[in-house]
Amino acid sequence: MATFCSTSFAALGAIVAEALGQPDLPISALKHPLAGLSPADITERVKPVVEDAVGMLTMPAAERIRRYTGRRWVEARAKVKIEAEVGR
Amino acid sequence: MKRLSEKLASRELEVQPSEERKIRTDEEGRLILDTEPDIEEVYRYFYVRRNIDGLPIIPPTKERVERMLKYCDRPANEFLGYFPPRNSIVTPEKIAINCVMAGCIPGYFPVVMHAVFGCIHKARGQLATTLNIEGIITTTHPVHPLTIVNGPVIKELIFNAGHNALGPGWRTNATVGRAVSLCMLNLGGGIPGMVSLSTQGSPTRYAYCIAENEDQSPWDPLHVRRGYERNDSAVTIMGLEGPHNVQDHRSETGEDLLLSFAKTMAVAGMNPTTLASDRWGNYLVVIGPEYARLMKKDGYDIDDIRMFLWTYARLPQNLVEQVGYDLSRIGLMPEWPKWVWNRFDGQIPPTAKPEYIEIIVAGGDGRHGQVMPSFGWTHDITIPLTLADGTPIRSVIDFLNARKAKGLPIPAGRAE
Repeated sequence: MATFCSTSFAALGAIVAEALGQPDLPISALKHPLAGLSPADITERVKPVVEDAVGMLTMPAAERIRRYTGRRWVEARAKVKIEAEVGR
Repeated sequence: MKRLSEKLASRELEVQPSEERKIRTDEEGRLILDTEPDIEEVYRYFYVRRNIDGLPIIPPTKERVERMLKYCDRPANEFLGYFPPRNSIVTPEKIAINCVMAGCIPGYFPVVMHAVFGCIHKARGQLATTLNIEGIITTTHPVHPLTIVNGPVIKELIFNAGHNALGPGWRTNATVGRAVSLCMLNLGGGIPGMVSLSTQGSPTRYAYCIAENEDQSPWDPLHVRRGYERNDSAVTIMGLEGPHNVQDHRSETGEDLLLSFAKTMAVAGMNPTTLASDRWGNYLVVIGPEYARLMKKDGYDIDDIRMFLWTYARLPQNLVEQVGYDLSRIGLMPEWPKWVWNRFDGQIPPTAKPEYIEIIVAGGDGRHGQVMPSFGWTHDITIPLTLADGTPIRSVIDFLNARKAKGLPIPAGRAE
């Protein structure tokens, strides 16, 4: 199994997958936004992730677990930055 | 799943509280608050871990958390459910921690806990049925659950149902609403910018709680209309946008007043207009007491108001199409075209059914009302305040007495 999210929501998708007991769910991110695109633009947007999707669906389970498990938190932390020094 | 806060704290933020700051952690990096810490350091500690809404908190010391459970007739670690989307296990103690941080006094705890009951699932990964808190937390829409309080606890706990009922100025409304929000953050995992991805967010997300002005309502209060006794207490949770004002200082009839409400409700861009279905999608209308009296005098009861608003708060189909909902393009949304085309002849009502428009009376003197469209993919839920065995309470003291009867520890401390 694998899924797609746009880049803005890929971290959320990964976190929810982990919460639902699928920490190794492969998620391929398409460049955000997708809304408002024409069918032709959608096709162009999808092309870069087709190879990614094939790989996700065909790789051995051990490789999938190694590659994807735990990465979502790295992505999430990279997305959310906060100043550790508050009020200084 | 490990604690969100621990994971964030351990790597990204690299917060290493020093001894001189008087903050201690256990071997797993969790905060130990068995003594009174420095309030500014605690605020900073929780803030950098994304455990709070950005405002200062009351430090959730062990003593305060235990005292918060004084009005709870369940063990502190009882399993209550899973709070999606993070699906963390919810216990009275975890709710109590958030209540302390929000500034609640112990008497408020049962109200918050029952509001949380409306948000959680008994089974892990269960699909949303009514409120859809997972959708509310993660959507780009600025929805937030409004907690509506009914029954004797309004007076007992001094909820504000009059002027400024939606805030600010009342500790009960402010801290109960805030505690629900903090539970969504810490139990549901709704960290803004990471899990909560509302495009702009909303000020209602700090605290969104109102009590019905039952004394000045000419109609039965909300919980009575839903089958409970007037001396029962209940919370109703609705996933709503922020309120939009309805001002009408001129109308002299209930009908004219209702037309002002209807035309304020019928605007393009509201979620229910395009996402509502037979299954869910509601709308809240808050009517001020002056308006309510005039409507009642002119013969309008709750169902009449619903039908009036449902009939006149409609948008023409061509306007909806003009703002981007071309039916030929959104045929993939199965319910919307069906109920628009087959039933309403191109005039789109605010909800699928009149009864999905809910009415409460709230506020003080003055000729204003509020309308609050929902998120669309949500429906409200009413939870009666009961003891663990299902017995309806008449006072929050009932929780204390039941706690004593069960032999659960009664924390010492100030009488609140």
